[in-house]
Amino acid sequence: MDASVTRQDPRYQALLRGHNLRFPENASMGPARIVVCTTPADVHRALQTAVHDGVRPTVRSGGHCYENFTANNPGGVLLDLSQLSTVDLDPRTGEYCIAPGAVLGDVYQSLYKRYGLTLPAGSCYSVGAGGHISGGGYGLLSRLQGLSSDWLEAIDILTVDASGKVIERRVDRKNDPDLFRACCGAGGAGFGIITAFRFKDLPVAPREVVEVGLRFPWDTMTEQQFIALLTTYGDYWATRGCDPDTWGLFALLGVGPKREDGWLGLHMQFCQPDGKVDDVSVLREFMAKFDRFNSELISSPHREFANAATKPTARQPASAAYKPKRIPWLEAATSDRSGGNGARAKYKSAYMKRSFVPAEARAIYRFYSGNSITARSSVISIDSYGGAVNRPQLAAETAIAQRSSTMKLQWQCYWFDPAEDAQHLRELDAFYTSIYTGEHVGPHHQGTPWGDRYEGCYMNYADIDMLRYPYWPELFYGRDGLYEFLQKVKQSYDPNNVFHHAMSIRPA
Amino acid sequence: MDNKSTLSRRTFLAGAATCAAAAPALLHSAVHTPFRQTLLHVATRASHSGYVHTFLLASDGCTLLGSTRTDSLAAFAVHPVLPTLYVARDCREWEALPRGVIETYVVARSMSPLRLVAQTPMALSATGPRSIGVSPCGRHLLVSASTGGAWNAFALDPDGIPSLVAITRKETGITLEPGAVSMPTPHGLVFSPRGPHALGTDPGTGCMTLLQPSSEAIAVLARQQSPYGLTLSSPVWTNDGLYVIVGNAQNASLSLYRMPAVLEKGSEASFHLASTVPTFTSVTALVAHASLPAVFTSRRQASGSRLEQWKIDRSQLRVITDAWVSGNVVTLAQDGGSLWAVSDDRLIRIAIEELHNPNRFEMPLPMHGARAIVTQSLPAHVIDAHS
Repeated sequence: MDASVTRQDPRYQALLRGHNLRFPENASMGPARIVVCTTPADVHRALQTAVHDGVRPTVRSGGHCYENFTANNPGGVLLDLSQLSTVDLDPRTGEYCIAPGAVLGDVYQSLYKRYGLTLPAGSCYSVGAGGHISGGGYGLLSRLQGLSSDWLEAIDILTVDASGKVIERRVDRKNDPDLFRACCGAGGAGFGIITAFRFKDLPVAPREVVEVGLRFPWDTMTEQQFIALLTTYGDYWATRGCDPDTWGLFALLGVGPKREDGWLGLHMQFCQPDGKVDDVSVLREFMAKFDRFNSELISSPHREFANAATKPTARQPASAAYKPKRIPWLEAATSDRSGGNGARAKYKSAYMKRSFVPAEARAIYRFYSGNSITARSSVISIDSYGGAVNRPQLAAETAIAQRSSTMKLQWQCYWFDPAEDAQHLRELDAFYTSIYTGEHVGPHHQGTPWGDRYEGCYMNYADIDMLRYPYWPELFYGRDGLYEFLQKVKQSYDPNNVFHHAMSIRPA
Repeated sequence: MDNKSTLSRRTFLAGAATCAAAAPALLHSAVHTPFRQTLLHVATRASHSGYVHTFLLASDGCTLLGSTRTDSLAAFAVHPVLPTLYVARDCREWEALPRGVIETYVVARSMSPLRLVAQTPMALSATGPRSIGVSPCGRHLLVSASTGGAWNAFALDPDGIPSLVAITRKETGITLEPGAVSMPTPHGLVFSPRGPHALGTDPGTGCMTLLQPSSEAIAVLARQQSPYGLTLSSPVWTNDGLYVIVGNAQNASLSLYRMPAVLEKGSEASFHLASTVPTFTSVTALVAHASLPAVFTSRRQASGSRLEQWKIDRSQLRVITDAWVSGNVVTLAQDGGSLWAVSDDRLIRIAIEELHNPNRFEMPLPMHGARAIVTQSLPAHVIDAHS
C-alpha cells in the first residue's frame, strides 16, 4: 500500500531530498506530494492520479540523481520507489527481476548469495538500480562484462498514452523493441516509469579479486611529471588495455588538490577473465608502468581515496614488492558502504577515446596546484573503460552511444555551505571548460569533449551546464542518429511529454 | 519598482483584491477617478523580432509614446490596476531549458514607455505560450502553453511581479467524446470579471476548461466539449460574468455559453451551450464590451473586415450594428466609447455609437505584422510617476 506524504506531513522533509543536498533549491521548488510506492500497482495508481490531476510526476529510486530532475517539481508529485526493492527469480519466465528501488549493494548480495551471479554495475552500495541500470550502469566489472543495461532481457514499464491512460508494458526485443532499446541506456530520459529490470542471463561473479592502490608524491610532482603520468595511464588503456586478457583489470586514477595531504592515487581491482586470480601478471605489468613516478603502495585504496588525509601504511617499491592479497569478490563489491556523503555536489563527465594530450594534463595540474576553494573541494576520477563495453554491435542494440572510449572521467565537487554554491558551480565549470579548450578540440566545439579524441559525456553523470551547447544531445547520445531515434520513441510512447526533466529527450 | 508611485498597491492588493467580488466595484471606482489616462499597446511581430508600440489616447486621436523591442512576443496583458504590462515570449528555450518566459514591464508616459523589471521563466516544458491573462483581483497570472500542452499560473506579488515558481497543469489529450483522442494545444483564455477563474480553450482537443489558479495549483472546475471545434481566437467573457462567447472552427459561427453563477472548487460548477449563431465567415477577433453584456467581433469579408456588435438577448446572440473596414483586422480592443481595431498595418478607432460612420480615425503603424492590442486605463499620476 502506498503512502502519500504532503508538505504538512512530518515525513516530508526527510523524504524530500536525495543525496545531493543542492536540490530542491528552495522549499517552493519541492513537490506538493511524495508518494512512497511499495508495489508496481502502487506506482500505476499514483501515476494515473498524477496524470489525471495534470501534475508532473518525477521518479526517485535510490536518490543519487546528480541534477534537479526529481526533487525540483513545484506543485507536482514525486514517486519514491525506494521501497520497491525486491531482487527475485521470476518462476514463470526464469528471469532475474530487479526492482528499481533495490540498491546495488543489496543486488550484489542477493544475486551472489542465491545464484552465484552478479551484475556489472557500480561501486556505490546505496545507488538505486532504477536510475543506474536505466542509464547504462557502469562499474568495476564493466570492462570484463559490459554495462548493466547490456544484459537486459526485458523491462516492465508504465507509459502514458495520448489519452492520458497509464499502460503497463513488458518490453523486450520482440515487444515494443524500440522502447526496449531506448531503455537500454536512455531509460531515464523520459519514456515512462520502469518497475522491473529483467535479466535472462547474468555473468557469474568472480570468485576472488585482488585490490591494490598506489599513491604518488603529489606535493612534489612537477608539471612535466604529471603530464607524463597521465599520458602513461591513458596510453595503456588506448593500447594494451584493449587486449581481452586485460579486461579484468579496472583502475581509477584519482586527482585531487595538490598539497602534502592532497591526493593523487591509483586504485586497481583485478581478476582474470575467468574470474580467478591465479595469475596477476597483467596487474603487475600495469603497475610497473608507474614505478618511475615514485609511487608507494597503499593497503586500503577505497578508504584512502575517500579520505585523502590518511597516511600511507607502507613505503616500498611498488610493482616488485607487491604481494597480492586475494579477497572474496562479494567483500570487494560491498565494502564501500559510504553511498554518497549527503553534501551539496556538482558533477561533470567526459569519455576519452585516446590518451591525454599535454594541454589537458596541464590544465588539470594547474587547477589543482591552485588554492581555490573548488580545487580543495573536488576530485577527478579517471576510470578505465572499454573492453567488453566496446563490443561494436552494442551501439545499435542499446541506447549507449559511447562504445569506443577507453577512459571515462568524472568530476566531483562537494561542499556544505549553500553560500558557496555559485562559486563552486562557476569554478568547476570553468575548470572543465579549460580542459577542452585548445587545438585538441575542434573550433566549433571548444569547451566540450567533442571530436575525434572524445565521445562526449555520460548521461548518468548528468550535467545541465552542457545544455548551453546547442549540440548537447550529440555529447550525450553521439552523432549516429541515436537522439533522433529516441525522439521518435518519445513521440510514440510519451506523446504528451508527461515525463520530462531538464535533460530528458525533447519532443521533435 | 519606483517608490515615487503614489498608488497604494500593497493596500489595494492586500485588502480588496483577495475578494473576487470586490474587484468589479474597485475597478468601476477606479474608472471614475479623475485625471485618468488611457494607453494603447499594440504588438507587432515579424519573424522572431517584434515591438510593443505604446500610444497615449486622447479624445481626438492618439500619440505614439514609443516602441519597445520584445522578441518572440506571443501575447500580452495588462494588470487591472498597476502600471504593468506582461509579455509572454514564445522562445523555444529560456536559459537553455525548454520553456517560455514572462516579461514584466512597468508602464510610464515617456519616450521609453516600457521598462523591463522582471523575466520569469515558465515551468519546464511549458513551451509555446499563446495567451496570457491577469485575474481581476490582480493576484494571478495565467498563461497557455500550446506546444507544451499545459497551463501555467503565477502568483503576483503586491508590485505585480510574478512569483519565481510557475504552477503547471498538464493536459493529456483527453476529450469528452468517448474514444476520441487529440493532442492538447491549450491556446485561448479569458478571466471572468467576477473572480479568479478563467476559461481556457484548446483547439487541439476542442475542450473548454474552467480553471481556477491559486498559489499551489490550477484547479479544473469544469470542462465542456465544443461540438463545433474551437478557433485560435481567445474567448470573451461578458462584463456581467454570465456568458462566454467562443468562435467555432468547424463552421463559421459563434457559440454562447451560460456560465455558472457561483464558481469555486468543489462546487457544482458547469457551463452549458446556450446557442450558436452563424457568422458566414470565420470570426478572427473578439472583444467584450466594457460596460454592457455585448461583444464585438471581426471577420473577413471581401477584401476587408466586417466588424459587428452582438447583443445577448434571451440567451441568443444578435447583431445590433456593424461596419465594414478595409484590410484584415487581426485584433480588437475597447476603451470608453471607442472600438480599436488593428489591421496588418493600421490602427483604427471607431466610435461605438457610430460604428457604421465611415469617418474614422486611422493611423499607420510603425511596423507591419500586428498581433495583439490592449488598452490600459490608469490614473495620470501613476503613469507619470514612472516617467
